[in-house]
Amino acid sequence: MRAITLVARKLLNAALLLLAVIVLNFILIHMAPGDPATVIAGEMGGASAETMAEIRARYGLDQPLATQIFVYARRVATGDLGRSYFFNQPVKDLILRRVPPTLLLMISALTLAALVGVALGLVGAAWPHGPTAHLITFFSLAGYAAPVFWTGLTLMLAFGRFWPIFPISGMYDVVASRHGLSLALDVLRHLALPCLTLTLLNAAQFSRLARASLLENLSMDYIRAARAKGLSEFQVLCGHALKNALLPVVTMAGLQFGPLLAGAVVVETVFGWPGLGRLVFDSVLRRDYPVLLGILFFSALLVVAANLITDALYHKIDPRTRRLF
Amino acid sequence: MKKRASEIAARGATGLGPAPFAPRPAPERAEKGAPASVPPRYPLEPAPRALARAREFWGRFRVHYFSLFGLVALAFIGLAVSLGPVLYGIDPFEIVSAPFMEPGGGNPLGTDYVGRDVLAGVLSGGRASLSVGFFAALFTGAIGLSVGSLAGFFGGALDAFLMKVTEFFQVLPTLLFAMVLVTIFGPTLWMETLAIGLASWMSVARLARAEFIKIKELDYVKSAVSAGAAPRRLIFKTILPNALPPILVAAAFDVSFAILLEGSLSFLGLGDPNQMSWGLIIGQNKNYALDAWWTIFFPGFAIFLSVLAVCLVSDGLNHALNPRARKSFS
Amino acid sequence: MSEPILEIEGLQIGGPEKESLAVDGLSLSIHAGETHALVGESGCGKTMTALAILGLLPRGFRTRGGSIKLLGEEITALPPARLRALRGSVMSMIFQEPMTALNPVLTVGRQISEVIVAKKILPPKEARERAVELMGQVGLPRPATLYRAYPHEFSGGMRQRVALCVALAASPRLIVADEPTTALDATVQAQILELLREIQTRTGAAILLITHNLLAAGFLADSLSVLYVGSLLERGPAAQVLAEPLHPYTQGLLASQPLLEIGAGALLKAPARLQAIAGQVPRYQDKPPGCLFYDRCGVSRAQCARERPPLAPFGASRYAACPYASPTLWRQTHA
Repeated sequence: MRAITLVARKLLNAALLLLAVIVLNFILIHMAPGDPATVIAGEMGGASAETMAEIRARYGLDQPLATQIFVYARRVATGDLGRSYFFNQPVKDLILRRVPPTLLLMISALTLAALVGVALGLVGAAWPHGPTAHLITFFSLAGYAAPVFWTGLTLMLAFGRFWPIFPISGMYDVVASRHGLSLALDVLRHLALPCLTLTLLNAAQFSRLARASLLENLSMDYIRAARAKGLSEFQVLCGHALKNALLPVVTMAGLQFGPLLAGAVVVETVFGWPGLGRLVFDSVLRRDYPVLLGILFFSALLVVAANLITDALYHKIDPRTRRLF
Repeated sequence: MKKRASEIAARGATGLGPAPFAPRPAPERAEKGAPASVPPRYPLEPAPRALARAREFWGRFRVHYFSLFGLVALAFIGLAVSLGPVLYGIDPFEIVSAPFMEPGGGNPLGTDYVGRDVLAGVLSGGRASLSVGFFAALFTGAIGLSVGSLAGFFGGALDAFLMKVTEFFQVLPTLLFAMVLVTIFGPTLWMETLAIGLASWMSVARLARAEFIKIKELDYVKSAVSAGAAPRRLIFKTILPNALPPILVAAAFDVSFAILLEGSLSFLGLGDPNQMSWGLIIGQNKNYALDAWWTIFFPGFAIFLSVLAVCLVSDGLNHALNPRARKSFS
Repeated sequence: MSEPILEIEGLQIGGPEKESLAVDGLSLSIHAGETHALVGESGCGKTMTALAILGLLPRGFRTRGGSIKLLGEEITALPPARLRALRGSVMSMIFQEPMTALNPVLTVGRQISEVIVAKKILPPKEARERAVELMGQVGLPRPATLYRAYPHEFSGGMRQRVALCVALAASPRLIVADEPTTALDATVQAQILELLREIQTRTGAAILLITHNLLAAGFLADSLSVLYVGSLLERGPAAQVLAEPLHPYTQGLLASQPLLEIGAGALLKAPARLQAIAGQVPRYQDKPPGCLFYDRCGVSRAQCARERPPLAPFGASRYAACPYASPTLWRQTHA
């Protein structure tokens, strides 16, 4: 019963947040310089008088603001994110087609980053002093300080020019038509560099957090107690400290989803990865507002979903958040 | 110094003596006199006190060599960016020679895809990157501090509301939100600054709120409350000075984040087109990265070094302002 | 007489500051089935001693002299791997805070059985049964169900019972109990002490009880050492020391504690009034040159400030580090 109320409250909260994003989008449309209908049509949409009239009708732009916001929210809630007048397609379709590549990139990078980061954190915590610690500190700092497009371009240079083992652009070989496993391998090869770029950026932060969290846990009483049991240092580190130390890492993985998406936008631009990021970049150039706002809404949706998943994961790891009896 | 047995007995006999093993202050030790090097806690004049504090701060800052390195690097970058363009004297937008000239020769850092001087670009590009970074962090700090302190101080419904607002902004991916704002309202330096600030104030707000809540519960604040101090006085005179150090550190760190964001924005072509910036150089040359590495490497390294320097300095600030804080890079 | 389980000779523990010793010249020995209590105020080196025995001294601290023998084997200079093999199986430890000494994200059962598995006493499945059995023995209700519970679902007393199970899991010969009852409610304290005694009769383990609670020491201990700023001030059979303390510090300690007469242990009377010892325990880094207790002592003379009195025999089995040690004053005031 308790669990159900909790889940219901979380879902309600998520819905409210998304509603707020819709309202924000509405406000942005109206605050933008120029007639809202022009904004919706997009500056480069080549909007004819006919299109403008259609937009006014669809969005009820001749009605009072309160009605307009209601109309707009209802449209978005039913999945209608508007229409890109440049692509002449519904925004929803445009976005949904671009989501799988982006998710592939993000999730592979997030997984890798978390694994590498935690592994580095373990090494850093096992040898908290001396050169290993300095090296990891430097890596995490450098990973944060290097702008992601710079890292990406540098990798592109390294692998495109000096050691050409990975393709530097696109998602698959456009010349050869492949199927099945061959296609999957091809995509994987194309994924390598964008994923590596995004991983470097995030692994740095994960390693810093994992190391700090492990070190903090290693100073706890129960670690001393575990050592007093005569467990090996490996058992102490991986059996006792790690699970506790993972809690903040999981929290961060959730919080990291927004920045990761932003990173993906840049990385996709660098490597020509045909995902949401590319779409953002193109829409910015064409001032295709419906697409931009649609992506803003959609990414908020992704972040909210990621937060919900994080919460669930957290409950799974930390027994203190659930009850046995 | 020494207590006689009768005295011990007398104190115990009152029944009001301190608990046997409770920690007690040691008046004896205090009376023995602190070593001469320790400054008196309440000096008579305020001026030496400020000086002593500054000296103490510097003493804690400079022992961290990495932070010192950061400070030197930041000073170097600041000088290069402010005086460099004047001394170098080449317009970053001017086409000075053939495209893709390698570094060395007439152009120390080479030329870009239309033949503009990369060094001139790097020198004047820093102005946009650094000033946007600085002012955006200032803006971030201002919003974050206002929201966080109000929420933390007043609590209740206002707190709940402000935290909801904060949560809402956290749902929007920072870069995307800033991109949308700049796209809609036009790519000027001020809009960039405003957009970055508006998209990234949330962590400062949470920090400020946590500090305010923590300090509000401390005894000296409670006693000020019970003495009838007005909220305004409490916020500005009692709590804020004590809450400020960690917030300052966070704001300093946010400068680095803002520099990175500015880089990404101008890389994506959302910077002020009339203003050279590091991200812009890379963004415009990105398609020629394989042929002209110098057009990418140098401006990118400038961003890297600035962000690194700001991080190290904020870390040093952290050590100097919050000596007991554990969050640190080193 | 048989060989003692634990024998400490002139133990010295040094901190990061080179010249000062956190524990200086501690000697004691415990035989099978015996309990020795190490008594003193906070910060006098009790816990350091315990951690030194287990080889778990915090970073910067190490033994600088003396010897610790476990079952006749010198353990101060053992390689870490060998020491680790002894921990858990030959010696184990119970910690002060049952709240923090158990890992919050692991089931209590796993925390007990992992010792049995790690020490290769039983395979995992049987270790589990053994753990349930142990939980039953320390008086935890429905042990099979509680095996799967997490520490946060337990009260302080129950957690300390779990900690006891952990300490007992591999049937060690020596149990170091560091303030095992300090964090507990009074009624629970009595239960845990009773349980410790019961376990000792059953297993014949030697117990080193570290406490500042003289009541607990009197209840459980056969012999008793009083530690002050890292040095022994008094040692002797627990009943005698508590009935007639020799050293002014021990006398002060007793006079400052509300003791009640308890059944099986030492005969203790509630003093007519409580007397706190004035002043504070000095830090071990700034020990005075003379008697450590000089500043706070009621009977000290000028000479005490210059020379530190050694631990000297007093009668058949008692020792005190004070030239003016005498039971007379105590007898007069606490007849």
